[in-house]
Amino acid sequence: MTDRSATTTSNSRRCISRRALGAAVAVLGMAAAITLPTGVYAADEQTLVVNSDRSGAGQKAAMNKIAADFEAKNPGVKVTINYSDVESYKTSIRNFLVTNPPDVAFWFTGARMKTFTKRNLFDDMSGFFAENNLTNVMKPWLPAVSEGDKQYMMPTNFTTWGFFYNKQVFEKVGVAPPATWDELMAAAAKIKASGVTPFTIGTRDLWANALWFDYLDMRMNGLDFHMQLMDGKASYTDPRVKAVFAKWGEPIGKGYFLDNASSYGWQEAIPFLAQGKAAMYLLGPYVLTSLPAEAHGNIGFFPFPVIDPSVPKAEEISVNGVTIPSGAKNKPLARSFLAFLAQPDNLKAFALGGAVLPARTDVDITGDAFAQSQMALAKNAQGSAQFYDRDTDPEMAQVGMKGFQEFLANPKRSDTVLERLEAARQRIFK
Amino acid sequence: MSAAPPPARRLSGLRVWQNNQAWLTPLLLLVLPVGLFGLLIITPIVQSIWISFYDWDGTGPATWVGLSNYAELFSDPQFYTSLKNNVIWLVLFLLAPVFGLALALFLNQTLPEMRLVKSIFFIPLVLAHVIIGVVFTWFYDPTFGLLAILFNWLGLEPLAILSDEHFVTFGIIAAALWSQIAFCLVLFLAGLSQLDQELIAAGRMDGAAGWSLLRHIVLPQLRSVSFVASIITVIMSLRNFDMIAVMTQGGPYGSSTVLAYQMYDATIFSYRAGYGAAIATVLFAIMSVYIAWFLWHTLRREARGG
Repeated sequence: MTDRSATTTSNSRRCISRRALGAAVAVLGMAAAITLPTGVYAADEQTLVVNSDRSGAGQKAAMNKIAADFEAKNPGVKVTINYSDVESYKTSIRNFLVTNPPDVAFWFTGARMKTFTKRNLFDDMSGFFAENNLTNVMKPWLPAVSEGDKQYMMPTNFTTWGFFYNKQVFEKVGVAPPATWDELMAAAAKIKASGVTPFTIGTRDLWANALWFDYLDMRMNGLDFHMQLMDGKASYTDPRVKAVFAKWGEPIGKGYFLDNASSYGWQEAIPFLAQGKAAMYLLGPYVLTSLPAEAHGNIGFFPFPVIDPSVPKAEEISVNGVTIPSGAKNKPLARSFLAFLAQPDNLKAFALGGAVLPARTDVDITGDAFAQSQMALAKNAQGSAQFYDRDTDPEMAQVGMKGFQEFLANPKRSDTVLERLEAARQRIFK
Repeated sequence: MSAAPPPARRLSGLRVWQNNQAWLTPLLLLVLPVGLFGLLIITPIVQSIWISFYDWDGTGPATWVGLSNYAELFSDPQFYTSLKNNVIWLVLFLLAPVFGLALALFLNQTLPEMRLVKSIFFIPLVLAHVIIGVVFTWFYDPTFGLLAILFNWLGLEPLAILSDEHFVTFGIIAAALWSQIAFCLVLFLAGLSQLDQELIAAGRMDGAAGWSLLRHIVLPQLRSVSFVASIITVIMSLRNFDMIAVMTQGGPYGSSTVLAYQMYDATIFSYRAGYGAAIATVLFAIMSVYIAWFLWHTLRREARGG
C-alpha cells in the first residue's frame, strides 16, 4: 500500500507553471486550473485508487490500516490512497472527477454532494445499503446522502459543533459553561475583564465565522427559516436576519472576539485557546485533533447556548461520506472496499481517529467520553442543519462568508453587508 | 498543385521537392513551432474568450449568455477593487527597477568579497513566491510576528497589516517587491558587465564623474536592459496571484484581491468558469497593451539593426 500527496503537489506545480507562462499567463492559468490532472495512476486492474482529504494523523493511520487489512483479505489487490489537505482537496475535486476519476473519493454530503450529483459525477449507490445490511444502521444519515429517492454516497462520520473552552481559564475567572446567551455574555464580560480574549477565531479561510451566523439564526429564528434562507427563499434584508446581525454585533462591539481575526487561518487561532490567551472557540472537534493529546484534558465542550427558549433547539451536524465517482474504473472492487470500511470496527476506528463520530447507530463508543457527549448532543437535537457552505449554493456561500468576515471586522457596516448578500441571493437564486 | 511539372518530364518526388524547396523548407520548419504556439497559446486564449460568453460551472452544460458576464463584471464593486489594486501593484512595482539599478550599481565592484554579498542579494530570487508569502505572513503576524515585536518594543500598538483593508495590499506588495528587486538587480548586474569601458574612460577624461557619468554615459548604455526590466516588472505585477493566495486569500473581504485572484476565486470557489473567463479576458486585454508595446519596441529596434 502506498500513499501519495498528488493534489498538494499539483497545487504548487500550478504556481510554478504560472511563473513560466509569461504573457498569456492569465488565460493559460485558467486552462491549467480547469484541466490539471491530479495524479498519474497505474493502469493495473487490481489497483484501487482512493482520493481522500482526511489527512489528519489519526484518520490517516486508521485509513492506512483499513486499506492494509483490505489488501490482506483480497490477495492481488493493491490500494493506493492519495491524501491531500482539506482546503486543496476542495479546489481539486472538480478537476479529478472529470479528468481522472479515482475509484473511491471522500467528500461532504448535502448541497456539496448535490453539486456533483446533478452533473452525474457520482455513481448511484441506492442498492448498496440493502445489499450490505446498512439501511437500518445508517438510517439517520441517509437523507444527507440522498437526492430524490436515490443515494449517492455512503455516510462515514458526522461532526458536531459547539464551544470548546479552556478549563483553566474558566476556573481562574470563576465561570461555568453557560447554558443561555445571557450567561455566555456575562461569562465573556468576566473573562474580558481578567485580560483574556473571550472568543478566539480565525477568519482568513472564511468558514469558521459562518458557525456564528448559522447558530444565531437557528437559535433566534428557528431551523425552518434558516433553511429557507439557505435555499434562497428568504431575504438577507429580512428583519429576522438583521436581528441576527444585531445580536452578533453585541459581543463584536464589546471587543470579545480576537483582534485581527482575518490575519489567522482557522487553525492558527487554536493556539490562543490552548495557551489560555483566549477562552472559547466555536468550532468542531478539529480543535482537539489540531492539539497534542496532552493538551486535550484542559479543553472542555459546551453546546451553543439557548437564546429564545421557545425556539426548538436545532444543531449543526455535518455528515461526511465517501462515494464512487461515475468514471471509476473498478466499481465492484470499490463497492466491496466501501462495504469493508462500513464494518462497525473499521468505521469506528476511522471516525474516532479524527475525533468525529461514526455514521452507524450500532457502534459502541462507551470508551470515549467526548464521543459520547457529541452523540448525546446529536440525539437530543430537534432538527439539524449541515453548515452554511454545505447548505447553500457554493457561490452564495462564498459571498456570504466574505460578508461575515467583513461584519466581524466592521460591525457598523451590517446594513451594507446584508444588502450585498441580498443582491447576490437575487442573482444566484433567480 | 500550382507548381506542377510540365507533362513532358517524368514526375518524380525528388523533382517536386527540388522545384519547391524554397518555400517548402521554411514551411516544414515552421510547422512544429507554429503548431505548438497555436495549440498551447492561441487555442486557450480563444477558448477562454469563448467561454466568457457562457454561463458555465466548469463541468456541466454551458448556457450562452452573450455579454452578460461582462455587464455583471462592470457593475461588480469587487471588480473595481481588484482593478484599483492592480493599478497600485503596477505603480509600486515600478520601484523594483529603480531599487534594482541602485543595488546593482552598489554591488558592481570588483572586490573579492562582493561575490558573497551578491549571492546574498540573489536569495529572494531563488525562493518560490509561495515561500516568501508564508515567511512574510509570519513576519506580519500581529501577535507573534517580528513586526509586532518591533512595534511593541517601540511602545506602539502592533499594526495588523494583513487584516487592515487599507494596508493589506501594500503589505503584500512589499513582500513581492522583495523578490522582484532581486530579479531586476540580476538584470542590471548583467547589463553593467556589458558596459563599454572605453566609453567610460573617455567620459572620465572629459571630466564626467559621479552623477553626470551615470546620467550621460552609463544609463544610455543600459537602456535596453531597463526596458526589459520595466516591462517584465509590469507584467509580473499584473499577473501576481500566488502571494495573495498564500498571504490573505484576497481578504479581508476581498480588499487585497486583484484581477488574477478574482478570476481564481470566481472559477474555483464560486463554480463560475464563464465569469472567471470574462475576468481573464479583461486581464488579457490590459496585458496586451504592454505586450504590444514590448513587441513594437523590439521590432523597431530589430528593424534598426540592433
